[in-house]
Amino acid sequence: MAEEKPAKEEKVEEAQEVKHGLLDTLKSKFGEKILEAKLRRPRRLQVRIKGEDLYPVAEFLKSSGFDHLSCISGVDYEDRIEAVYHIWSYPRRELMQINAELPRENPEIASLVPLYRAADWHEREAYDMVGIIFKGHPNLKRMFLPESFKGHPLRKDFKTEPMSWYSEGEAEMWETQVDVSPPEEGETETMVLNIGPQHPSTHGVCRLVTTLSGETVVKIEPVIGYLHRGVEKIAEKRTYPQFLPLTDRMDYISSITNNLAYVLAVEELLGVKVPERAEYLRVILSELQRIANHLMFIAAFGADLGAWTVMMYGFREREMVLDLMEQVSGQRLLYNFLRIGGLKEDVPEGWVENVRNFLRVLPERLADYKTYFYNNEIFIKRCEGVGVLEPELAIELGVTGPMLRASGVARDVRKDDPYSIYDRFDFEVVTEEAGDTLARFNVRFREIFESLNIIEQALNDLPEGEVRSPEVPKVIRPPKGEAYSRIESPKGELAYYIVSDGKSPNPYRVKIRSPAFCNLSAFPHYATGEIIPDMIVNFASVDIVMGEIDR
Amino acid sequence: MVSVENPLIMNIIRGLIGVVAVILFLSLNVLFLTWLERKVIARIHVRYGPNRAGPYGLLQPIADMIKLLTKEDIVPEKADKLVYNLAPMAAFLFALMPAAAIGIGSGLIAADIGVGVLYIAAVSSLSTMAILMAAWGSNNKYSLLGGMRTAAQSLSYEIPLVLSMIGIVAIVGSLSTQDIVAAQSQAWFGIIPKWFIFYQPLAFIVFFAAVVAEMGRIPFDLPESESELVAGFHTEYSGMKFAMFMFAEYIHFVVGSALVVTLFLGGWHLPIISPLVENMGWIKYLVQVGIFVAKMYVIIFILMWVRGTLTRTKVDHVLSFGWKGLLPLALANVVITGVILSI
Repeated sequence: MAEEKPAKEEKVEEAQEVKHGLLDTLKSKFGEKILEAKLRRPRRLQVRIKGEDLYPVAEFLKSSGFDHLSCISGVDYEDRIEAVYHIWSYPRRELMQINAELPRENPEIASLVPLYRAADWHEREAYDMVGIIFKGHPNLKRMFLPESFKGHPLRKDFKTEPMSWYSEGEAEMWETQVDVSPPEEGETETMVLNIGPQHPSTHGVCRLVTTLSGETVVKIEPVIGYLHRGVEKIAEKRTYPQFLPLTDRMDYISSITNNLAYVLAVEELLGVKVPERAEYLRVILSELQRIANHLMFIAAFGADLGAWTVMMYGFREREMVLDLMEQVSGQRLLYNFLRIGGLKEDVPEGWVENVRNFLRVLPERLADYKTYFYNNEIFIKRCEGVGVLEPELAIELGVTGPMLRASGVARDVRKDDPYSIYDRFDFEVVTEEAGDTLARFNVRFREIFESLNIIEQALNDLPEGEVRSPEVPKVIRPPKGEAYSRIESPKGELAYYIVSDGKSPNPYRVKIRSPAFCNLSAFPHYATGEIIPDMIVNFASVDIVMGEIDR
Repeated sequence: MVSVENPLIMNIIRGLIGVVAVILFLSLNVLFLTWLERKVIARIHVRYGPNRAGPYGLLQPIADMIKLLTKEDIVPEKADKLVYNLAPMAAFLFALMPAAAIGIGSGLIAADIGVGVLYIAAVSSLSTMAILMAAWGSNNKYSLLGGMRTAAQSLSYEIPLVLSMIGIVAIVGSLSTQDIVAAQSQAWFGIIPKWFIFYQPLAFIVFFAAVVAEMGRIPFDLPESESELVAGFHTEYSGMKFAMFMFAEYIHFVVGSALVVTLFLGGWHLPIISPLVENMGWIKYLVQVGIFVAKMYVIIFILMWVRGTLTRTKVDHVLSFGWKGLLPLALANVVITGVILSI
């Protein structure tokens, strides 16, 4: 590890060179069209362009290795609207932020769906929330809100009172969302089956409009938004610390990671350095959270396969993590334990010992799982070869996290774009080659052991000291700027894009890049053509939490 | 006044007693089973299971009964009312019918008909009709898919089920369940019982798998797989109608296990004990029933255990397992038995 460190720094130096090179190329190629191009910090590039120049710039970036469209956000700046694209490059390991300026009256921009298929849902969301019209989008409908909704809630001039956005006809409002006519090429008669919003295996309130031919799934269209709480809108009315508890309620299966992504973004805006001890504890807590999340996944996956025993086992083991979390935060689900600039408080006495105890007990318990799953021919047969997601398609669809790694793409934000202190730990990026449901299960199962490994290392190095930075002011008013914090949440790449206007104690705009949202958007692409039981297993293997998808 | 010597009247009275006895026996077992299953599964799940109503939660089935009786009975507006309402009763009735030809002691049988095994095979497939009625009558897509699965599944399991019984019938030379059990009463050296599980191991495997599929339990509970089809064919049923389906399901459970015991595990015979009580009058019957029920619960426990350990299969796997796995095995068994018997 020690000998690797200098090598890494060198790499960063190198990368800066390359980055400058790329920005220069961009400037020379597009000339006046690039309004501004800069390197915000290592691995963070930014260009500012006019909306109409987006497509050629994006095309050029894609050809130079920017292959993962991470997020599209719309920001209303009152004098203009900006469509903000965050594109990560897996080969170059850098993030390009494109701010495309649009006129406020007629915010039209070319759709990036032909370049990045991941853009589909992101553009629908930006259209829904900010009202940006994406020209050439194949299916530009609202993502979360009903079609009958009037206005775009994240515009700054949107009034919540009086309720002018509300329109009568609640009953039809969801119906307009989906075209339920049978597919044209289908010669046999098909049947449309609404799976959800209330269904045992939708893990919340997700609706899958499935077209069936017999038991074969011909077409799937997910309809989401049933749990939409307008968190991004609420964020604009809360101060920075006030919004923190709400991040817990995004992915409520792994609250800590949501806290972490948010505080990282705010800390980047503030330029605050977090004390060492807090960094280590953050890592320990995140990894504990990852274990809890994956255990929950195994439990829910078992339940979807009719293996209720595994469900109970999963919950039993997760309970141990919950106990540890309760000891530090007093809460069992929504911990609200991280703070901007550190943690709420230090961990109680004896907690470290409890974690060590947990590290010892869990592998013994997990041995039972191995017997249950891998000696069970029915389980293997149900998962093997089901829902194969090819690596190229996975990247194109913006799939991240365990799902991407299950397709054989060894990409992990903790390794590629280290945040917090993840570059100090020695761990393996778990991958599987097959890309099927079994691989997705395996990746998560094996990641539990990697997380245990990271926790062990972090506990060994855990320093004494402060857990909260004294630099953080009482009233948080970050300077004018933007921050995009990417982290590897248990479900994939989670990112908070925060814009500060420099004067208000409230964020100007908060956009959340939810991993499950993007992974779910890929689901219809690989799950069609299989029968219902396969589809259910496929769906379970996405590992979704509706709180995070609908926001 | 009608003479009691009239054989017709005697038969009717005997039949009525048989019916009441069968229903009573099954109902008590089902009530106990619902409790037992929850308790056993809970133990496998590392839970406690019901423990509030009565000691060890033993009164839980009664509490459930009261709950289901007082629940609102909802009939979907667009359901086919006649079929929808008839289906639970049909399910209940068809589940009861095979029990008439299964004895729990020598002579303790509701109807010792000459074609017993054939009758059982015939009427047990009727319950598929009830499920199809429920599936169609509910006018619900999930129900319909569940019903379709039931039809496909029962088609692929009826045939191996019947074929696997042929070997036994050929050995015994009778279709009566009483005769089949009587043929298993002997023992080698007085200890090792001459049960058909030892004569026909292949048939036992096929029969056991087919019976589990027939009962619709995990791993073959596709018609009502809750993670896919919500509740399958009984999605739209509530209250007492739902209870009747559940009741029918547990009767299948009891009857299926009883059938396994009758055909393969020597019925009410047990070496050493059975010969001892042979001439002890009513005690003999008591011991016989005890042995039979004990064996039945061993099978039931194994099935619960299976439910606690396995996952659900897929509909296409079930079909190919039935047609490509069980059917050839059952046929092979018939041929082997035939060859050996003719030698």
